Amino acid sequence: MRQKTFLNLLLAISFINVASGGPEQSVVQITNYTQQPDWVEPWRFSPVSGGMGSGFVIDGQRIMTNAHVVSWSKQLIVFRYQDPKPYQATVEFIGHDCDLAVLRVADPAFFEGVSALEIGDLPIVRSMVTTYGYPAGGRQISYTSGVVSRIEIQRYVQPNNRQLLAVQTDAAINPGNSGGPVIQNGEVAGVSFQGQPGLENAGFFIPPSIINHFLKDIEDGTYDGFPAAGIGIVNLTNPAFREALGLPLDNVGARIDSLFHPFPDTHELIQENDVLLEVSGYEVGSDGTVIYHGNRVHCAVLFSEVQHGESIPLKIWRDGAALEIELPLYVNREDRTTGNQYEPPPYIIVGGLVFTELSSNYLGSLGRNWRDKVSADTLYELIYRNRLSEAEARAKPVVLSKILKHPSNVDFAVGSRSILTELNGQEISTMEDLRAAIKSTGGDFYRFRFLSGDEEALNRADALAAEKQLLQQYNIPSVQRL
Amino acid sequence: MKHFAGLTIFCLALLPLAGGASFNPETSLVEIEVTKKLYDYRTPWIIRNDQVRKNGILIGPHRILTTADGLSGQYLCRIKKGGESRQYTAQLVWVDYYANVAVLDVAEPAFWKGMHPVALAQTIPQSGDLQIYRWRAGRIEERAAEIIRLYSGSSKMSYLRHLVLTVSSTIDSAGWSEVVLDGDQLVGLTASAAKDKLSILPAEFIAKVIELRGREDDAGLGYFDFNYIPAKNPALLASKGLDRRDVGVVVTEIAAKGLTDDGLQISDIILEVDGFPIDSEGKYVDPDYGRLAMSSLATRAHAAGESIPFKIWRDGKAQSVDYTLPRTDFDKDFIPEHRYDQPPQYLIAGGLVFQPLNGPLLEALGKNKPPLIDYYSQQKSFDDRSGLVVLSGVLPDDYNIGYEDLRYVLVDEINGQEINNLNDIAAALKTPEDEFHRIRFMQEEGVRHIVLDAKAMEAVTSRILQNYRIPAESQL
Repeated sequence: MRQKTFLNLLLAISFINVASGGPEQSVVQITNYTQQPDWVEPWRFSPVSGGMGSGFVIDGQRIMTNAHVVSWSKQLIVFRYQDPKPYQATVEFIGHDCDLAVLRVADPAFFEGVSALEIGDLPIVRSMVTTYGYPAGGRQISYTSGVVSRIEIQRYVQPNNRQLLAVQTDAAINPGNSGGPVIQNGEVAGVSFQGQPGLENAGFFIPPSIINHFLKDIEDGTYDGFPAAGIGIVNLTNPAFREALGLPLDNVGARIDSLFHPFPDTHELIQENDVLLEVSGYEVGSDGTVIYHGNRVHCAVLFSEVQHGESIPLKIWRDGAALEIELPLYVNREDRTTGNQYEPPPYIIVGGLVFTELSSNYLGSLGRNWRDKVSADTLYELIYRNRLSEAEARAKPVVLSKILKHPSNVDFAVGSRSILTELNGQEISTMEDLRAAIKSTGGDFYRFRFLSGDEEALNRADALAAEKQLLQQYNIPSVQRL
Repeated sequence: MKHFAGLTIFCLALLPLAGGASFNPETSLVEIEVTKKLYDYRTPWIIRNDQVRKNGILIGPHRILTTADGLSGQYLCRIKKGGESRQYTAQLVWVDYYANVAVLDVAEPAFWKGMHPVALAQTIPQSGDLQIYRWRAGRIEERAAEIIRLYSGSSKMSYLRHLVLTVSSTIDSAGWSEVVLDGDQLVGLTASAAKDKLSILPAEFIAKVIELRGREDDAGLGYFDFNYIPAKNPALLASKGLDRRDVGVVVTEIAAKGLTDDGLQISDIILEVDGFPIDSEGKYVDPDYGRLAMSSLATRAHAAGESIPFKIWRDGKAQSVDYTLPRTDFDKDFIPEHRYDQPPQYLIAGGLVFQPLNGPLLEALGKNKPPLIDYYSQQKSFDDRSGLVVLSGVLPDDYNIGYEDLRYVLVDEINGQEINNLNDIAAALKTPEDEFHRIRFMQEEGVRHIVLDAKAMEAVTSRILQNYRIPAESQL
């Protein structure tokens, strides 16, 4: 037994020796075979396509990469540094909001001789960093290096409706680099993830604070995501507005202009026109920024350091006095339809009428001129209605995405891309409402009313017969998926 | 048949205004040069100068007919006849922009010498060839036109519905009231052109506009203020208990133009209008012109204020209702689509530029207008308001620092008062709260609140106007 332990120790030392060759030993190439859903005909999936990216080994025999590298995966293959053997991997956790994912490889041989990279600290601007990865699909690892150009809040393209801290560098970051580590002093200073069209010599990587937040989040076995306060913060530079609020002209404090839904704690604790003086002990400037590791960054950076359900200390100015508030932050899952989604969309077919959820993905799938194809009313339902009171918001509007023509519906006069608001007098705000309304229909007709005011009807018996035929005719696996 | 008779009597009222001699364009057709003011709704205090050349035709003594298109903002009209270089100053006798009809006169007797009016065709030809005439560089240009079809369409200048004749011709840059003739009779004036296809404002409609204008009761043009969906789908009729096929349309919206909610209700099936059966596409068989959409019946056979019998299906049974044809009133639009002969309205306060939301402003914004503005501009009403105002931009100054980036934001309230128009803003700014002006934008906007110093505003506004060389703080 003692001998065995000794052998293990020897083995471990030898691993360290192998790994000491450099971080590239821990960098992996990822091939992902994907199939994406069709948002207009949601039972259909695209032909299989392949994509390549990078990743790196972290502690616990796991691989870290970008969420977008492993999204919509049907088959995931990873390759070790200079090893031709393909290993099959699975996604253990995926955080689309922060574009990070953790993979597992079933074969323990994959991790032999490979050591985990340590997550380091936020690099300082103008310091040098080196990227490791497999850009443009080559089989040889590629290195690029450059300086840290700036550190700011950026829109993350993967969710498209989230902004988190990101580091900009002039080290080349190209497609295929995604998910690879950015190294400084032998430690991970970030994960390469996106570029920006029109901005030359600029790539972006995900900083350690976001990586650590993600890793801490998944410790309990579920990924919650990055929470938000549900407040709209705007500058408070106008002297008259400062005076009206009883604040000195000292450039401290940004104004909370609006409160969003659904954040009940925020509505209870915060009021419109409260002024944010401090967040987590950091003084907030009149433009909403704080000094964060030497960088002037929007104070949103501090809200993303908190985990779902935890509170953040705020110092607020209200009615001429400062007060301390502990504001609980929660992940907003209600805005999923305004960002990129990574679950196949729900659908319900009624007599050949295909209904799905109105979403950014749905509109995006209508092509480049999508804004010409949908009414202003429809866009309003998706983008603006939820900014009204909760009572006025229509939760997740249902859109008629397609009519599968059949003799029983061929003269249905309402066209696709219309928003359904009523079925047989029952209000429809979600796909679930529609499912329930169909289930409770007892009469001879389905009577539809749309957002435009148009009404139409289908004979229920004809519709049910049509569904059967159409499912067969178009190889549709099921009449609904919710 | 009663209605057929009605139409015939109406046609008889349009007896030829001139003799039956063959048409000589040299003595009937004139070229009109319109000099006018042109407004830029993106910088509403800027007035530009513009000139338009179009055609007119004599239809009687001291009556030169042309389309209204291009006349808005005019302050000088000059007319050339016979290809001569001499220009005669003309007066605008009357113009109906919404119907797209105008009549001019020339006071100088010399102008009328040797000129002959043409007759307006009593009916619209539906097949065959027509001739198009216009003046070009002192010579008559004649082109052949082939009739495409007649349909019930919208006026180029408003939501009015009337018959439109489309023809095909290889004439270039047309649509400026070129005259269209069938032999010696005026069939209509060109209203617009797209490639080789021209839309003609028919003489029959023009005659109706002229006739209504001359009537003592000042009846005006009517409009069916309801929208409908075709009832081609038999299940839609059956779901309302009507066991028939291919009849009627279902009312989906009433009073969208704010004119009337008389007679009809949402969900009614319209089966007959004015004695004509309505098919499931909303068409009737016109005794003169065959199958047409019912919308043009409002202007073709009736005047505003008249009662039109409708047969509808409501509550599971056929019923008769009388629909009093409302007179078009374009000022009742929640978001006015057009503004003619009026400069854009604006009000500048502390560098904030406010403008009412209307069609010309939206047109100036083009395709990239903010989606929220797009949404509100298509609403038929909102909170019982009479209109909406946008903060269209900010003229940067120390006074409004922090607000420079606000553009095309919808105003909700100022100092607690609801804002429907610029006068509301002027009034609200007279009652500041605690020496501040508090402006609230619509709830859906990215920024909802701003505050300005009330005491300094007046002086600041003068300073900003001077700095940006703007002649006046408002145009109401």
